[in-house]
Order: sequence, then structure tokens, then C-alpha cells
Amino acid sequence: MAEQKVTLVSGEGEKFEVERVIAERSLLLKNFLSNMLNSNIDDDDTADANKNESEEEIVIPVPNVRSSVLEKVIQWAEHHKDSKFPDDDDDDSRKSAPIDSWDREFLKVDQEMMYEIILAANYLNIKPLLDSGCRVVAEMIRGRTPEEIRKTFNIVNDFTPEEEAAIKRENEWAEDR
Amino acid sequence: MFKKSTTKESPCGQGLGLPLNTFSDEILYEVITHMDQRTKLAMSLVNLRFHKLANKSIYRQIYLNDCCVVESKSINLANKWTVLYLPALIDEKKSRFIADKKLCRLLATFEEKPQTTLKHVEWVRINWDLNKNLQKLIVERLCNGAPNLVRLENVIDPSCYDIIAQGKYSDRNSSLRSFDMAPPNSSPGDTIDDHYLPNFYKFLDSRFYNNIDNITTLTLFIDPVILFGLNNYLDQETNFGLYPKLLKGGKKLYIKDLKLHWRLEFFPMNVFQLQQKATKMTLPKLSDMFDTKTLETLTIISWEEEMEERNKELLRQVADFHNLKDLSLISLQQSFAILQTLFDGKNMPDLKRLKFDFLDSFGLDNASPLLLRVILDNCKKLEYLDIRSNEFLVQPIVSLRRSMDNETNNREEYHHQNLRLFKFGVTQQCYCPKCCDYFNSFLTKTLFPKELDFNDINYMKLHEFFFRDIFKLMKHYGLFPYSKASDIYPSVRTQPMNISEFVKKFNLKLVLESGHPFMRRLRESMEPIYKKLFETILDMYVKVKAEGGFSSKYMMEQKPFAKVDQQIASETLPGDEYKSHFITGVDVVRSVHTLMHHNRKPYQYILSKLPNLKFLVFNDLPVAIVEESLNDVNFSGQKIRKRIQPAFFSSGYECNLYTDSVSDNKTLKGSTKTDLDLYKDIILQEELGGKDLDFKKEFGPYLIYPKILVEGVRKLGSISSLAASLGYPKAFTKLTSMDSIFDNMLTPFELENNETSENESSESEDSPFARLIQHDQAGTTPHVTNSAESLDDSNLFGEGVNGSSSDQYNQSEQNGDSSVQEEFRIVTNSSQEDVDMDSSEHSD
Repeated sequence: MAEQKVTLVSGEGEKFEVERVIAERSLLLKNFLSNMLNSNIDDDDTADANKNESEEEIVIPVPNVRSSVLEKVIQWAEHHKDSKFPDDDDDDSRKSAPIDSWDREFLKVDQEMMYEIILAANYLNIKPLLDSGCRVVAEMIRGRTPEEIRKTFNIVNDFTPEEEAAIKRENEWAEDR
Repeated sequence: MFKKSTTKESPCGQGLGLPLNTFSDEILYEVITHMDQRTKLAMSLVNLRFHKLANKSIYRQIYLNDCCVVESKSINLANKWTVLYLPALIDEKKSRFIADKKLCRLLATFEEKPQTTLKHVEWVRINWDLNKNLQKLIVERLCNGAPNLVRLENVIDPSCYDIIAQGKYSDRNSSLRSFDMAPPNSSPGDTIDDHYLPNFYKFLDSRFYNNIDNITTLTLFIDPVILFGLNNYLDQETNFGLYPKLLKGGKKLYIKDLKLHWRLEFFPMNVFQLQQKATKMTLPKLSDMFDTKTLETLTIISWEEEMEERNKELLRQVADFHNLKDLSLISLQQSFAILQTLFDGKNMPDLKRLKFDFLDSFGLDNASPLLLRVILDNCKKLEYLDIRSNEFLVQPIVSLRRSMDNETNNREEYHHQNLRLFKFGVTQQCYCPKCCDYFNSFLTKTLFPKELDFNDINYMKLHEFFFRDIFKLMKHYGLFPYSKASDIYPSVRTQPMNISEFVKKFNLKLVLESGHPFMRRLRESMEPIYKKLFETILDMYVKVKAEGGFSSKYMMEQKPFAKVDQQIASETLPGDEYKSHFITGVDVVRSVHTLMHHNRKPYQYILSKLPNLKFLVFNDLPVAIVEESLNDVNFSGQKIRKRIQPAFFSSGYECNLYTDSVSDNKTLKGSTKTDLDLYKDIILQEELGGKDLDFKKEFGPYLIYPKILVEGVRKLGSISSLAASLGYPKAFTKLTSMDSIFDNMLTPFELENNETSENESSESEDSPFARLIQHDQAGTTPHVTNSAESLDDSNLFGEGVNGSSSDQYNQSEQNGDSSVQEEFRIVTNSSQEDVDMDSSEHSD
């Protein structure tokens, strides 16, 4: 039996047809599909439901994600179609696993795209992609001083000198000195 | 299907333009959780919003350690914990002093800024050895000021019971889910205070009784049957249990994470009485008390030298917990029959994490290859495995093995031939360019040079083999950090150690004790330097004494010698010739990498058996299993291979193992950099935090490091003995009168027996050989601990004699051959009188 297809519609209205198993890398879409199937079963008898499942076009709008970003996300999901990731609730394994080298290459994109991929991964609830994105951003920042972080990311320092000194004192116990 | 991405690609890593500040709090927090501690601390100083989010992560889980935590440069190991940064090379006492100081600072922070710090705390693990009063204070602050507190781990002071029971955020209605029983004393078996049990019952009443569903993490220092008994299970006459009311009416505990300490305490009932009762009736099982569906994590920590029958029974009962996902057996004696049954029957089908930390009577013990196979065949879902297994599929890189060829049956000839039966062996498993270079240019030239001819073994060479076996020594000196669970808990070094310190210790041993002609010449040529050192140290001694004396052990150990070190380090030292005879930090890292390449077969076998494995600690070396996609990013579909990624000593590591055999040794290419350059980079990154290392000095100061003197005098009892042992009995004539001064100076270094140079038999009993005999008399391998601090010879025998010398000595014991012991004494005495002996003179 042919793989069931799902059509994802981007914010600009562009359609992307993907296999259902690819779409289900997103927990949001997986739940959506699951709920839709359950409601179909409630509405029809089982035979009809199976028929619907294989024949009806399933269209899911993803209004918060631009076409170019959705395309990248689908590319990621297709690549990781068979990957085994740690459970979403297994924080330790997720965070200690070294970043996949393919993901590292995949995320060598301009900063705007990186930003949007992370937002999309969060919105679509794709934890492994969100982890990889956040890890790459964390690595960009690694080892930088507060001033360097501000300068790199155009962040305004809203501390008074007194507040800054107080925070330094506050976290002194954890400092490397 | 859909068009290819047309987004511009740019190198990742600059971060310019990334609108970090526009991320939602949720995503920004997620980014922060992937950061290391230093970066989180920097983030907290960026602006107010970042501060709030970073602090949430910094204060969520706090690890109050008392020794140095080693960070991984390649993997985010246990980065959810915020630890106390402690220097690597300070002694235990100083380390605790700094830890306590930092703890005071943390307490002050909790006091001053509870809203931005204390309120985020969810989990705190406290090290036992921190200051007791500070431990109480921190518990008090947490229990009354941390509304989100879920777990307090390792609270071992019984006087904290009231604090927890009455705490605003730790009483029965709080979110605190852990219940830690404190041991009655720090050491097992001591007399129990009269108030201990009544207070404990009170604590149980206040936190546990009528509240059992709220406790999900439990730590006990008592057999659960002794504690809880089971009212309904037993008739009134045979009823027992110190606190039976908790499980009255057939209740069970819904514990998710259970930690049992097995130690003998003199409670009103102890294991012996329990065993007596067990002969008359059937005791309740663990599964009668703990819900088998709920329990997911079980840790058993044994304090016993030999596993009690009762505890063997408890271990068997672990098989009832089919939902276990995480099992750690720590300091247990290996009981193959029980463990085989436990794992063979697929009793724990969902087990994801397994740690074995076996001990035998004398130290660390390896899991038997058979047990490892049982586990690999039955625990298919394992994602984490921590196990030691010697000679599993592969011989050690260097070994002394007892050959059975030409063995005599004649007992008189036996001990003469005994050493000759040892065959020195070098096993090379990996033939990548780096390994070949290691074996050809380092292992067979610097470590085990031909001049020493280890194929013709004698007692001196046997000794020399042990202190040149870098692979055993790296483990023995604690160079590999230890963790309860390497990916979840921080990894610590329990003794002052890093690569530089290891190099120092290793080279010192060579200078002081090697029979290599170069070392003998060196000792001779260094006589003037020694003399200068004596003078310098004496000068320092007089000066410091004049300034008020040595007020503490620390001052004694650190200050004078640090100054001397600086002075000596500035000396111009001989150059290149030294390099071929001494090891460097570079060589240590190369040795770790070679060891990992050497373990290719075990790694490959384990990975093939455990498809879900994500983290492996094999023989104390932690590695992550990394899935690597081979395809170009523009391809769809994927081809995945796995490789291992060392958690430590990782920079510059080139993997020689890929599970899909896409790459083999031949594909590994040598670096265009010289090894020295390459590994210099590695060391800079790994251990020295980017601080430059003067390689010239690396070869120099260690050789004439003042502790040579101290160790030498400590070892031989007096300056005159040291002078004699160096082949210059008259060299320090003027100085020998100063022996008494040195005796005073050496006291902090635990000079054990100043008189032994005059009493050779006494000295020999304390010698490594004599100790080895003592170990042998116990019939197994010598004791080894991780806490060894000095260059004490006995330590060197640690794990190094498995299957080699211990076999020999065991054999001699079995044969009732006491003459071997005598021979050791003779050789030991000789060794003091004639360090310069030629190896051939003593081959028999």
C-alpha cells in the first residue's frame, strides 16, 4: 500500500506534499492527524474510515511557518525519517547527546533562517530539531563574555553598575575563581 | 516534490544578526539549558531578562561537590548541574576548605536574593564531606525558602530530620518527593546513639506516614525488611520490623527511585538476627514492600567486604522488578551465579541504564567476560552501560603473562624459574598511522626500551614494568574522572590529578627507580643539582622558621616548595636527549587514544549487540555513541553510521571504529602537523584551559623537582640512605648531620619509618615486594584504591598484576612455597644497596 500523503500549507499558501510519517516527526502534526483520524472513525464505520485514510487528501495549514523554512524543516524530517531520538521527556539524554554532524551542516544557514527554523521547530513541536538549533546557538555564545554577547547580538545592557556588581556577587559561588 | 532551499548559507558560529533577544522566554531558556556553566554565568550578566532566565537554569540543580569536577570539552556532560569549581591540583583538605567557602557564599546569596535564586532550586545533591554545619544550614535554607524543591540528595546528618520535617517547603504537604535516611554514623558498625532511632521514627511519622504516595525517591541505610517488617504478612508472635505501621494493611510503597546502602549496623535487629528468623519463616520480599510497576531506578551500594547471605537474597529479588529502567550495583562483590540469573531470564526487558562497579577484597574488580556476554545478549534496550571487563576480546597493550612452556614440576627449581616463565607481551590491535607511530616511536622506545630487555625478566624489571605500565597507572592515579552516571552526574577526580601531574609522577618514578642506564647516569650527573636543592630547601626552611615556623601542613607542603619550584624552573636544563626517555603530556593523551583504538573490538562487539546504546563507560573511559549521517545535506534519505566520541581527552581523537565499516583503519590519515604540535594543542585545550605549556620546562623541573628529595628521603628514611641509593654514599656527608631537620620537615609527608634504613628487615616488610607477598598471602590481587596520594610503591601494584604476578604468587602459595617470599626480601634489600645493578645480575 502506498504511503499516505499529507499536504502542508505554508504561511504564503504554498503546498508541500509529504509522506505522513515525515509529517509525524512533528508532534503537533502527529496529534492533529491522530485526532482527525479518531474523529473520522467516530463519524464513519471502520471500512469507510480506512478508505478515507488512504484516499482523501489531508491538508494541514501551517500558517506560522514561511515556505522556505517549512521546506528546510521537511528536509530535516525526511533525513531523520528513521532516526531514533531520545524520548522527549528524557532531558538528560537529549541534552548530553552530541549534535548530529548532518544537523550541524544542515544548520549552516544565515542567521535569519536559523532563527526561523528554531521558531518553527518549537511551534511544530519537533524536539530533536529544536535541540540541534538551540545547541548551535549555545555554541555560538560559548566562552563569550557578557559584553561580547551584548555586542554580538545587539543587546542593550539595562543594568546599573550597582545591579551588575550585585549579580556578580550573587553568582560568585559558582564562578571559576 | 518540493523545491530546493535557496537560502544563503553562511558559516555558523559568528552569531551576528541572530535576533537572540527576540526569542521567546521559552526558547531562550531552552538555548541556555544547552550551555556550560561559565556561559550561563556570563548570560546572567547580559541584561535583566537574560539574568532571570539564566538564573533559572543555574539554580535549578546544584551539585555541592568537595573535589574537582572535570568538564568534557566534547560533550555536554551533566550540564544541567551547577557545580562548585575547585582547582584540580590541591589536596583534599584544601579542596574542602574552598568548597566550604563557596558554600558559605551560596548561603549568603540565598539569604540576600531568594527571589532570583532560591526559588528556582529543584534538586540539590550534597557531598558528605562538606562541613557538617554548613550542610545543616543549606538544608535549612532550602527547606524553608525553596518552594520548588523536589529532591534533596545525600542528606546524611540525622540532625537534619527536624529541619526537613518542619520545613515550610519540605513538610508532608510540600512538593519534596525525596526521603533520605541518614546513616547512624559515618562508618558502619559504630555504636548507635540512643536518640537515633526515636528521631528517625519521628521523621518517618512526619514525612512518610499517611503520606506514602508523595514520596517517590527513597534512600535507606537499613534492610527494608528490618525497617518496615510487614504487619499483615506475619502473625503477631513473629511480627517484627522497627517501623511496621507504614505498610500496615497490605500497603506498598510507590517508589520510583530507590537507593539501598548495604551496611552492617547494630540496630535492635541486624542481618544476623534476620537470617535466624528467615530460617523459621518466610521473610517478606522486596516486591511485598515496593510496587514492582513503579520502581524504575534501583541503586545498591555495598559497604560490605563480603556479601552477606541476606543481601544475596535481596539481589535475587531484584528480578521481581520487571519495570526497572536503571540499575546500578556499586562496590558489590561480583556474584556471577546470581547476576546471570538476574539478567539471563530477561527479567528486566526495559532496562536502559546499567552500571557495574564491582569490588573484590583488594580493589576494583572486572566483570567476567561471561557476565558481559549475558548482559549483551539479554539487555537489548540498554542506552547506558558502565562496566569494567579486563581482557574481553582483546589482550592488554602491554602485559607480563605467565607462560606455561617449559614449566618445571620440580619444586626446588620452581622459584628459580618462576620469573623466567613471565613473558613480556605487546599487543597491537590497531594499525592506523597514529597507533603505528605510538607503538614504534614511543611504546617500544620510551616506555619499554630495548635496553631494559623485558623479555629477560627479573624482580627489578618486574617492579619497573609496573611503574612503566602507563595504561594501568592512568587508571590507578585517577586520571580518568569518576561519575555515578557519566552523562547525568558530574565527573570528579577524587585525588589531585591532571595530565601534568601524572607526567610529573610518572617521570619522578623513572628518575628515582628506573634501572635504565640513562636514568642511572642521570642520577649520577644530577648530584650537584641535588646538592643545590638541599641547600635551597634548607635555606627556605631556615627562612620560613625564622618567619614564624610552619603553622600548618598546608603551609609546610605548599609554600616553601612552591618557591623552590620557581627557582628551579628558571634553571636552564638539558634539552633534547631527555625527551626520548621521559613521557610528556602529549604521550599521555596519545596513550588514551591508543587505548581506545586498541579497544576497537570490544566497542564494536558491544555496539553490535546494543543497538540503542548512547553512552558507554568501558574500563572507566566514558564515550558517547554518535550517530553520523553520511549524506550531503541536499540529499534526501540518510545513511547513518555510528562512531565513538570520547568524553575526555577528546581533542584530536580520530575514530577508528565505524559500525557500518564505511571507514576502516586505512582511511585514517596522519595529521599534517607533527604529533608534538598536534598534541600540544590537545593538552592546551583539554587540561590547561588554553594556558601555554612550556615544553622545555615540562622535561626539566619534574626531574629535579624538590619532591624527588622528599620522596627519596621519605622512601629511604634519611639523606644518607638516599645518597647511598643514588650511588654517592659520601656525596652528602656534610648534610647528613641535618637529618633531624629533614625528619621534621618530612613529618607532614607522613614519613613512616625513619629508622628503617638501619633495620633492613623492617624496611623490606614495608617494601612493595613484601606488600605484594602480603597480598599474595591473601590469595588474590593486591588492594588498590583511588585515594592513593603518594608515590607509594604498593599502589603501583594495583590492578597491574591481574593475570601476571599475582598468578605467579598465588601459584607459589598454592605450592606452599615460602621461599618465594624470602627471595623477595633478599631482592628488596639488594635494591636499596645497589640501585645501579645491572639487570642481568639479578635475573635469577
